[in-house]
Amino acid sequence: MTKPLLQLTDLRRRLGRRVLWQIPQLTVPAAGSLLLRGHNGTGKTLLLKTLAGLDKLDCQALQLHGLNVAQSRWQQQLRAVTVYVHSQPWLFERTTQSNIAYGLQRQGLRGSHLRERVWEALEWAGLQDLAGQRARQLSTGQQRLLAITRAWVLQPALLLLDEPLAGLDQMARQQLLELLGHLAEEHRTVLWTSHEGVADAGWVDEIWQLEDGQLSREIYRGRQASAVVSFHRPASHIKL
Amino acid sequence: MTLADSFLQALNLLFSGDSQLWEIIATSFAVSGQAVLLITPPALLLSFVLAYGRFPGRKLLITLSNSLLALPVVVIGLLLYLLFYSHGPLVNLQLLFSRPAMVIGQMILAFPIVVVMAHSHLQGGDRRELETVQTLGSGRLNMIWTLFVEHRYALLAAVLAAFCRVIAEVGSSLLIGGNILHYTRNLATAIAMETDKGAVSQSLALGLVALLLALGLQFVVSHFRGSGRVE
Repeated sequence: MTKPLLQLTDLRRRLGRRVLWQIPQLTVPAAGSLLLRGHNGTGKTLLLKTLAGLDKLDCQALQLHGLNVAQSRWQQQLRAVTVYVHSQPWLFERTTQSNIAYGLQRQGLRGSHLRERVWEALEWAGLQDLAGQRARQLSTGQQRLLAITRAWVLQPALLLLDEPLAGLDQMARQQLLELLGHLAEEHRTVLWTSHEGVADAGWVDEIWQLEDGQLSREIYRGRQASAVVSFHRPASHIKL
Repeated sequence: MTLADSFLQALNLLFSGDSQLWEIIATSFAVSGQAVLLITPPALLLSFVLAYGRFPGRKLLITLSNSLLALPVVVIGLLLYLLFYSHGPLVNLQLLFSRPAMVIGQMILAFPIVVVMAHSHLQGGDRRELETVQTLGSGRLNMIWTLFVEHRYALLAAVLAAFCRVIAEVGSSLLIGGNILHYTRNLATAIAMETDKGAVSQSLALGLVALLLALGLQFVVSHFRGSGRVE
């Protein structure tokens, strides 16, 4: 059996004295599409940022691929296996292709190898025609697509997308949903949030519900999910 | 001599290629340029740390930087004079009435200007940019470099503003530079001296140069600052 990508024990997040959420055991599988739901203000974004190593991590233990990680290396290890995409992505004041190249350059890619990977990513997202355009001049949907592509090209074990569908028109939303569907087929883990129903995302493997500081999980892997992803509260759910 | 005569004489002096005048201009550029170049890297780094860092004493440092803006230039000159003069603790460095002393004085003046201007720009930014750079795999140095590149125009405007300020200062340069011909005489000290002597046209010529210089640099600053309106 494949070991989970991440396991966090007694994960919690405080805002001052208030505990925003407390999760006794959080398990992120090694592959699959996970949808994190919850109303505004429940702490979905903070949970994603915590898993991305961008927010302070308050937990008892962290396991990566079944191995314990020393506390001093938690943040570093989380950043090494994840890429986080904001709901309103921040793009560099550069062209579309330079934005995609940024992370690859940090990985040491140069020259023709870099160009090949950037072009591959542009093709994957259908952004070839916008390769030389200034990223900040793109539409909202295109900017979000670019940000996801910029993250995808780095091949992270866990891709974290915050509200990727929010505020998009029907066409852009459909395009992004298709892309998220492709991501789900790539045998990596994608955790994305939504505060609204996504009835057409039938490929979702798990739905996580964040409510009243508790996280519950509904597993749909191998089942017809499209009927249930319309975001009524699941009839039965596992409290984590 | 009327003011108009003096003005015409000043223009004549300016375009006649007077070697002494151009030497003074060169001294001004050399001293102020060195001062600003030397403080730019640490000042920008400090502004970055103040904007993005989380550590005890951060607010105190911000308050201190802001307070230093109000320090009178002549006080900076006086303090350095007391350090470097014949009974001062740093007399062995033999810096009094030298260009390095003027550079030090202008560095003290320019440092808080760059820190405060750069920090006030960076603090108005967005935490998303830092998080994006971190999540895309940047190390600490690369992260700082990327953010500097992203904010390069505003940061350059801060540096140029500091340059404009220090090249026009007279208090510190006069006290610790001494206004020595062919060595420490710069635009500001020369204007003060020529006015004292009653050489109005020379003084006006120097004043014109200072004005043109300030205008030119301000145009550059304005260009980097953008349109100046909300987009």
